[in-house]
Formats: sequence, structure tokens, C-alpha cells
Amino acid sequence: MDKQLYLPFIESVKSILMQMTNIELEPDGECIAEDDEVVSYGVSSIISYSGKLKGRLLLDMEKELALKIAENITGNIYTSTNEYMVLASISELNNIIAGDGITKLNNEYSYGLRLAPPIVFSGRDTVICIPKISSVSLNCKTPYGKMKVNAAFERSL
Amino acid sequence: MLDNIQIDKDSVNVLEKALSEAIVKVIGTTSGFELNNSLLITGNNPLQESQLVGIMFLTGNTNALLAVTMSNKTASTLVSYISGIETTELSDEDIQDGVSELINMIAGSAKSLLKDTKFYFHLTSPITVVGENRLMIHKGTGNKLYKRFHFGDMQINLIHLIL
Amino acid sequence: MSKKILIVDDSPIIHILLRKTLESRGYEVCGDAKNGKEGVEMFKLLTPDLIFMDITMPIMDGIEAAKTIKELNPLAPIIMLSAMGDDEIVSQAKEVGVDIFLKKPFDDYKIVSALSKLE
Repeated sequence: MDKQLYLPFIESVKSILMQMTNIELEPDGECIAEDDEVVSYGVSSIISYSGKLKGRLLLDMEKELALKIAENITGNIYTSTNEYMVLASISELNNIIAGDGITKLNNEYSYGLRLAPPIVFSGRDTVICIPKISSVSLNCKTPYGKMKVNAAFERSL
Repeated sequence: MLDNIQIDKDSVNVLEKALSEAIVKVIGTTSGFELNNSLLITGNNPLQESQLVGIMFLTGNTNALLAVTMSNKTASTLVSYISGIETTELSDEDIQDGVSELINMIAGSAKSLLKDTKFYFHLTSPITVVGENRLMIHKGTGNKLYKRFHFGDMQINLIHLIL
Repeated sequence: MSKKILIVDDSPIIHILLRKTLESRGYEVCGDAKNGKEGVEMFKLLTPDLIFMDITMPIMDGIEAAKTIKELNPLAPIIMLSAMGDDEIVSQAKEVGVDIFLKKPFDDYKIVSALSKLE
């Protein structure tokens, strides 16, 4: 996959996470082509976009990181990722990150991408299977836990 | 910017009819199972309860989420009948791929049925999510359609959420 | 008397964040709408002094809601908030008469600056 497509999202994750939560994201390796499935760390958010291209951004993170993100965004402490405001915080974070990424792509390459609202889920032993589309993942770490950023693109028919 | 859609009763019926026809046709044709006894589900969101979910985001004049949910056992049986491979020989990956393909076909079939309606949509790539005790939330307060279909001693839920 | 502000966004998080900033500066949040249609209805009912409006929302999006509100009252101040901020969407917002466009995420400074520009 062309770097020009996924690098804006990687940059957006780092900068928006810092702006919104004051949490520093550190890549743990290089961007790699992803296999068909992602074994979730615990909390995942998926947002899709479409225009001249289609695709989606997946943010997957450990539960402790999700709780800290929600705390830093809302100012409240949470103990469970099943709480609505925790998942709503992750959902909004993903929305803003994806929005920032597609803004860069739209302004640079006129892809006309628009976002659909995200979904977010939390569970035990969750596996997300993503066949039929090529994607790139970057594994990252923060002081509160791990995060995986996965961006996928395909041509619109 | 996208036009706004007023969801009225007739439109919901058009959408429900197309989606029901699509799932019945696809499952019938690919696996030989005849879906019957469908009923609209009220109460708990089936997205939360099932072991396995096949999801597709639909884009168009309205954005929506289309999903099928089922137990692991139902998924394994369906994929076995569709593929002709014994359930004992199917890997987890085969089953997940099979469910992804199923939602892909259902969406594709519904898309043709909704061609000249305001619900016409574009497909995106399907996703399958597997796991226990899963809580799933989505934004959006648009129309929600939950429908359950039975076949044999199994059931499959069809979900359409306007986001 | 403090200015009345209507927030229209389908994200509960945005409502929390905006309310914190606004109330700490003496503004009154008079309504919380979760989609454009609700936003228009609340605008008619509550006659706010200013509206914060998201774009991507179900039932009626922010561009359509802003256009409707401006038709009802061309002088109603609208600050549009969006995760997207490309040239095309900003242009669409301006075409319907939105007064200020802010890209998310926003901090207190951005919100306060936007409010001062409209006062």
C-alpha cells in the first residue's frame, strides 16, 4: 500500500492523542502489511470512510490505555471498559483522528473522503477478521498500554 | 453535502423487505437452508449478545451498519454447508472468512433490491468480529432494524442501523 | 445575563467538553441536541444566542441544519465543529452561512477566541 495513504493517519494518531489526552504514543517497530485478522488487545474502534477511495481506520488498545484516555478526555475516573463513556471517548477519539487524516488526504490529493460514524467494542478474546482488503498496521506503546493502528484502503467501484 | 432522508413508515417497510429478501435468498442459495419464522426483535441489541458478528458499513445518502450475528455453532454449520467442507475440518479462519463472505453477499443482494430507492448504498469491505462478552456501541440515533430468522434449531439475526 | 448556547452534536463527549469550557466562562448551555433535526427544533424553542454545530450527524447533518437555521434567522451565530476540515467541507459550511469553522480537537483557547470574534 502506498505510504502516502496511511502515513497521514499515523501522524494524526500521534498528534491527536497528545492534544486530546496528553499521552505520548511511541511506535514499536515499523509499519507492516497486516494479515487477515487482528487479535484485539481489548478495546477496538473502527471507522470507515469513502469517496474516490474506500477504507477504514482501526484503533485497538489495551483496556488500561482505554480507561486512561477516557479519564484524560472527560476528567472522570472509570474502572471498566464496559462503561458507556469509556467507549464513547474512544469512539470520538477515533472520529477526530480519522477526520484529521482524511483532511490531509483530501487537501493534498482531492480524494473527497467522508467519514461514517464509528463503532467501538470491548470484549474478551475478541478477534477482528478483515479479509478482502489490504491494510497496514503499526504497533505502538504508551505509558498506559499498547495500541495498534491499522489503516486500510481500496479503490471505490 | 448529502441530502437528508426523512424516514417514514413506507420507507422502513421497503428497507425491511429488501434486507429480508436478501438474507433469505443468499442463505437459501448458498447453503440450502430455508430461513423462516422471522420476527422483529425488540429489547436487547443482538450486536451485544452473539458470539460472532459479520459487519459491513454501507455508505450512500445515509450511512448505515449492516450486520449478521450468530453463534459459533451456527456459523460453523452454515459455512460447512456453503463450502462443502466438514465442520471438523474448518479452521476458525475459514469460518470467519465464510461469515465475511456471507455479509458481503447479503449486502450485495440487498443493494440490487434497493437500486431505485433512497436507501441505495455502496458496499465497503466486510469485517467479522468474534469473541465472548462483547459490548459494542455505535453513534447514531437513526432507524434501527433487528430481525431474527430461524432455520432448524439455529437462528441468525439481521441488523440494520442507520448511523 | 449570560449568553445562551445550544450544542448540536451526536457525540456525548463533545457535549461534556464544550459545556466545561463554556460554563467555566460564564456561558449558559441552554440545550443539548444529538442531531441536526433536534438542533433545529431546539433552536426554534430556545432561541439561543449562539449555536455550536457538528457536521456528521444522523437524521439531519450539520450543513443542512445550519442552512435551515440561517433561513429562520440569518443573524443566528453558528460555530461549526467538525473532525473533518478539508477545503471542500469548509467551503460548504461557509456557503450555508456558518460564521466560524473549527476543526476538532478544540482546546479552550480556540473556543474562547471563536466566541470573542462573534461578540
